[in-house]
Amino acid sequence: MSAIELAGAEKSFGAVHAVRPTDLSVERGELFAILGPSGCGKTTMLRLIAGFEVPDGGTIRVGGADMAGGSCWVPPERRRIGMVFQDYALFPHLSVADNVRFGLREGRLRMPWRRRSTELTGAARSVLELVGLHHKAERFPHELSGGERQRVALARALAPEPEVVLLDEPFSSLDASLRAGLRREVELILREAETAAIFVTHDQEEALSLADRIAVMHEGSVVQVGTPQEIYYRPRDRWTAQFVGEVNLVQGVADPVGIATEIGFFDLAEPAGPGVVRVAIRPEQLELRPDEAGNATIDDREFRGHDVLYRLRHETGGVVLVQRPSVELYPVGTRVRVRPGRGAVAPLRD
Amino acid sequence: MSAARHAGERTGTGPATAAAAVVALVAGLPLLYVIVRAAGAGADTWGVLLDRRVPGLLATTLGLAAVVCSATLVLGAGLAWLTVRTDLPGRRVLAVLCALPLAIPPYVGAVIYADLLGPRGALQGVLEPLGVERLPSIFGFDGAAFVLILFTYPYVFLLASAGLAGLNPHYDEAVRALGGGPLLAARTAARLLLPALASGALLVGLYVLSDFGAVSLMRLDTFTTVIYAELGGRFDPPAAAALSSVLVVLTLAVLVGGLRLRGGGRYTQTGAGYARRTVRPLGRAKWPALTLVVLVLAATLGVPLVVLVGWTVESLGDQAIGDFGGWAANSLLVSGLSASVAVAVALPVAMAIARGSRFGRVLGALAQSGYALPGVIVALAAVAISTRFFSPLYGTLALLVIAFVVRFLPQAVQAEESGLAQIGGNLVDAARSLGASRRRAFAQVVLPLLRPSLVAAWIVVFLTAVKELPATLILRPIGFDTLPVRVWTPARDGLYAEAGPAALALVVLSALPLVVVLLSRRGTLLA
Repeated sequence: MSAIELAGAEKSFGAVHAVRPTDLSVERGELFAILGPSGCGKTTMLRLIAGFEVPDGGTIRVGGADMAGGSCWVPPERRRIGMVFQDYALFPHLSVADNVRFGLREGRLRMPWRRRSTELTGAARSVLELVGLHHKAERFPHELSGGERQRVALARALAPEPEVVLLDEPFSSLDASLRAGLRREVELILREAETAAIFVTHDQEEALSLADRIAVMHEGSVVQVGTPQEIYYRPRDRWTAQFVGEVNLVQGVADPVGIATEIGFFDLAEPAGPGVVRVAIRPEQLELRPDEAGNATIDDREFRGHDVLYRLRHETGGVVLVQRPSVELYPVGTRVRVRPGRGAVAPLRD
Repeated sequence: MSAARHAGERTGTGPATAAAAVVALVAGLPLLYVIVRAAGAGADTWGVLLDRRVPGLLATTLGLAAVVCSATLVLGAGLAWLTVRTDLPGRRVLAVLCALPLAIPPYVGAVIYADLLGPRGALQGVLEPLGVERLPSIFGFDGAAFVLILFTYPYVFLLASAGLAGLNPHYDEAVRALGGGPLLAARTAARLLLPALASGALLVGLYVLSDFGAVSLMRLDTFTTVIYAELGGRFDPPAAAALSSVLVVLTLAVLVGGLRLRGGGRYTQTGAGYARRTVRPLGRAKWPALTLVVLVLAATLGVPLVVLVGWTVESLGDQAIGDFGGWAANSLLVSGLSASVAVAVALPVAMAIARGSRFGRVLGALAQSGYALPGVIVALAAVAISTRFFSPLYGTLALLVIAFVVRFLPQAVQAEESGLAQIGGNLVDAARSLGASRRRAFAQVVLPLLRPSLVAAWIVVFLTAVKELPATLILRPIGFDTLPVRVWTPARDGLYAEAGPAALALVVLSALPLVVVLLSRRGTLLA
């Protein structure tokens, strides 16, 4: 049984089709990313699942139970869904402990005028221990750092043991220097909680490094669903290929074994053709070595620390991007021979 | 289909919106009444009014508004510049003092100056030995303008001060560096201050149009006093409604014009406010400038306080003091009730506006129509509607409270709406994703966070209500005297000194919270 199932779910705002009819399923324990540029409808998708938006059509199921569709409607508070908001939306008037308790039975019974209890018990304690903030239970949100706020928001969402946790751009409001570390931390917390998690992001690196599977969204449609490797090396169309990273889009002639292009002969990741097809070749799938009698010249290079990106002028006139470890550093103007390296390439459908 | 049935999830159509609709409807009744009644007044009534009354009243009322606005702009902006941007001695204390006349209702000022400058007044007493036998009369246009200027300039002063304090001093230096003289620099600053000045002038203009107390004590006929007379002695409701409709149109025109002037002149400063503020040395002009400020303060604070305290001390032994407690209690009762009701009923309206739907904005505009309705007109509508449809209500405290709530609802709505805007929708969504029903999300998240705004709204409405005069005069239950009534009634008959204790109590009551606000966050009361 899937944690989340969408069948034909869609939503428009006036003339804007925010989410076109979409089928999607997310499994228990899975870390799932919805990746797309801003305005592609990914946040609306999240809000549809959470129940903050009513779909115009289609059905939404959580943990096998119908939430929306037909005559069925379950309000957000009865969906067993946790949500971590982009700005965390911590309750500023409640302590960390009371924020976490809000979704628990003890929080429900708590009257606003009652003094806050200092004792941390049960689920609230264990979930705060999970995120490593049990020693800050009596602090208030404004006394915490950005990273701590995020972990409180996560703890609060996890406390009622939801079927799935939704995270809206969870790392976008953090400093770049903090992001990588917190990403790993959040991943470990989510894995330990064994909940399904869906997070929305516009950052392809974040999606690729964190998710078990990714859905790429473009203009309200999910254009491809797959593992990070599939999305990166076997993009289905040009837009996806370019959105998830630097890429060479090259035409070639396909035969049952592979594809012949002006750069050389590549293995195909899946059968295509026969005839002329377009493929996506990542810059790190190419090799180069200095060669006076080579087929390209280094026009420009971008030194990025761990690697270096070369922009080559191929003898046929085209531009070729090649990424190499930065220990293979050649000056601009060097005559080189570029050729296929490792890995199969994918035919594009457009 | 589910989408239609659950549209409430987004638009929030529920009990709250229904409540907002009821509030908006009640609040819109006076405006509706004025329109319907004025339209039905008949050609005769209109003909007579347009021939005989309206042209003169228009000239007086608009003239008064124009004179008072211009003078308060000069006075308010000048004082603001002196206390914020120059090295005037004691400017921090003076800045607080300059805002304080806000606590003296103009009709209290009118009582004081009518006595001092009127026939056989104190000034004449001083001048008589010198051979001055008759002073130019204080009553009429000049006296009304004089009093209104003295006690409404703080609106301009506060907004101009805030504007000047936020103005980036580097603009001044940039103009000079580009070769512009000090004159150009001053003109540039004036342009940048336009939004603040326009807001101040708008507040003053709206006040003058709605003022009843000061003009009536200065025996000047404006729309409000004539409407009051039509209601009282002559009792001609259609004429009153027709005149009211003209005044409403006038007020709306000023409101729209003022807002447009302010909105069109909104500039963005690049780079947030700089901490360093340049202060211009006044040099030899320092002492004349200080003298000027002190003179203004003497006229707006010193003289009124001395006179009021003097009158109060004189009447200490009188039995009138015995009734004084009752008037004060009545004032506190009606203002406290009105503030509490206004804060409560403003909440659904503020929520409807905050939700941002078109329906919500319409409700909000309707609920805030009291902003364009002088107290006389709200009272007129309350009398007419209650006697016609709910006659048991007429002459009760409840009707007075309802009229106050309608009149002061905009202030409560605005305070609560800005509070709601700061809370943001994500917190409610977060609460609901944690299993909280809408009701619980409201009770445990929205309400606790809104508490400061509710308190602020209550204080603002209370302070305005406690000074309200015309609606109280018209609607109060028989024998129900409040402090404003006890200021106005004896003063109307020329017994100025009798107004002393009530006026002093009113001033102290309004000044206390104002001082607290001014000292804690200078100038944010009106912002």
